[in-house]
Amino acid sequence: MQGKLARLSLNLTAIDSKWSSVGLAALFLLVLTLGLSVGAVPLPIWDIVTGSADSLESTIFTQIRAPRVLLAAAVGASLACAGAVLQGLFRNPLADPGLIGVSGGAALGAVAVIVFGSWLDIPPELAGYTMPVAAVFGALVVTGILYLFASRFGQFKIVTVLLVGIAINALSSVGIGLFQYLSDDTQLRTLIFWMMGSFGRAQWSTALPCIAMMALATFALIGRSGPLDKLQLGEFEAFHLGIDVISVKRQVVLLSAVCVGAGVAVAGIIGFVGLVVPHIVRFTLGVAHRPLILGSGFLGATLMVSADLVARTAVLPAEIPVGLVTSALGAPFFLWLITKVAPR
Amino acid sequence: MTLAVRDLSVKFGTRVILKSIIAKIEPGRITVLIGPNGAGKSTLLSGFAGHLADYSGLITIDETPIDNFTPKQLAALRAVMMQSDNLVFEFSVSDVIRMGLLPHVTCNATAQTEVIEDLADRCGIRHLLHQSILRLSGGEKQRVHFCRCLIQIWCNTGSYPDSAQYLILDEPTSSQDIAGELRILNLVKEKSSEGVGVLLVLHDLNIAAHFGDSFYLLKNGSVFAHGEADEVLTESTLSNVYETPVKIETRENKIQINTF
Repeated sequence: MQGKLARLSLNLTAIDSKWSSVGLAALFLLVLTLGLSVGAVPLPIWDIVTGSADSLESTIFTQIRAPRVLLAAAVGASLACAGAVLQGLFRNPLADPGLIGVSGGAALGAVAVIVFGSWLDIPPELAGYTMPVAAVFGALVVTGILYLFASRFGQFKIVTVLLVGIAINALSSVGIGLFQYLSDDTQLRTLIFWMMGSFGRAQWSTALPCIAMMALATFALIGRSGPLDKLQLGEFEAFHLGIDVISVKRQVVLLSAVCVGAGVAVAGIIGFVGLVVPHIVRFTLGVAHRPLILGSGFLGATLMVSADLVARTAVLPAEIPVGLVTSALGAPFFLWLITKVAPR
Repeated sequence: MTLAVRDLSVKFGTRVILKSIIAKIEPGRITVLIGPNGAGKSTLLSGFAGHLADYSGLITIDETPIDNFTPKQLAALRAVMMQSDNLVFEFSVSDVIRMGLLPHVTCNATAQTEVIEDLADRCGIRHLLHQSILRLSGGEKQRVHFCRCLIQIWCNTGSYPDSAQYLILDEPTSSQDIAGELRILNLVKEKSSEGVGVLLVLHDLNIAAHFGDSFYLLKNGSVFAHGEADEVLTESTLSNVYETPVKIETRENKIQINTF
């Protein structure tokens, strides 16, 4: 009898989580449609799909609104997935993509281009690519340094990664501060706006390569969900269960660095999405990494498209940086989380 | 068929942890590691488990060096229970036990569920299967991890039919009450009688004497004595190694070890 009841409740949670994931996907589609149609110029989405919209509306849709909203969705999804995976890797509910210093490294790369980009002799047709490339490069350099430090001690110790991440974050703030000091007024303005995060300059040419990178890295991370579950038992325990722990950690650090680096490149530093979203998903879909990463992808995209919608419509015709919106939502959540996690 | 270490030496920095250890785990026998705190029991266990990062000497399974096996192959051959508990997220007890199921398990989904429920019952955690692991007591958590290790070798007999399986347990009963201790060790004994080679680290010498088939007594990183109970568990040897007077009585063929 007890067994039957237990099995029934197991089935119920399975159905529950199935409906929760369908719900998350539906919510995303709803918000995506909303994000595409609402804005400074309202776009009747049905007319555009059927081709009966006028040419101005079509142009706004294809050249401005669609790249912006899709980019927001992609960045939100990849930051949230990176957050979920890093919390799992560090077995630390307070971990965030910014934590291991990758956001800082990416930002330093991008800021260097804002301030010194004009010194480089870059052909105008490639100019749009310099900042994303530099940011991804910064993220990868940080990952490389992290890896060298951590692997020097044989086992890839998680605490070492966290401590090195803190040091790298401090170093990149020094670098960014120095670049701010060296920049002129226009550069400083661009720099500060970029650092607060915005999807305002989204265009297909720069967005598509980043979206592709983030999508590939996210799908590859979903493939690491089984090993990530077993890693929760501890590194030795995961090894005893047949996981090649060192190579899994290497892959996860690299893939999450691509997710975060590409996101920072196109949109600046957008905080707290990677922290908040995985926690909300754990409440509804449970803690196993496969549903967690998938759910975080959908909810991260939903949250970012909504935040961007608020950012670009709240004070029309002006715009609030989207990073301010996500931080305003995320920082109180972070405080609440500390009160929940700290006593343990 | 054995899991053996030969001339195993381990140093952490300049500190010598193990000195030229020769030891083996044989299928169908319960080998018990005993010795004072800091004697090197857990380090020797790590050697048998295959996760020692830095050592000299040879660790072999059926004469093949353990470093030649992939983590997956090792996982099908042996399960290891450590003393640490690292979980921070709310996995359910049944999620944790299922982590013991390897990708190449030899039993099907229905059989898996039956085995899990049966073993959870015998470990005394069946009523906890749908609870969060974080809300369990230390003893209950320990039984969950023990159950996970049992599942790991239970569902993998036949992956490598030519090789024996091993169960390596570091103080598996340290948080158990007397009933829990018996539950765990009786299951261990049952698996050993089916041909599994068992390595146990234990502190309770009476329990060790009752369940062990052969013994390694470690002191300061060396094997001080090894063999069967009557060779290792003697008053003079134990008094010497633990630096505490030990009295041994034998009643109805059972050894009773007293320290006061």
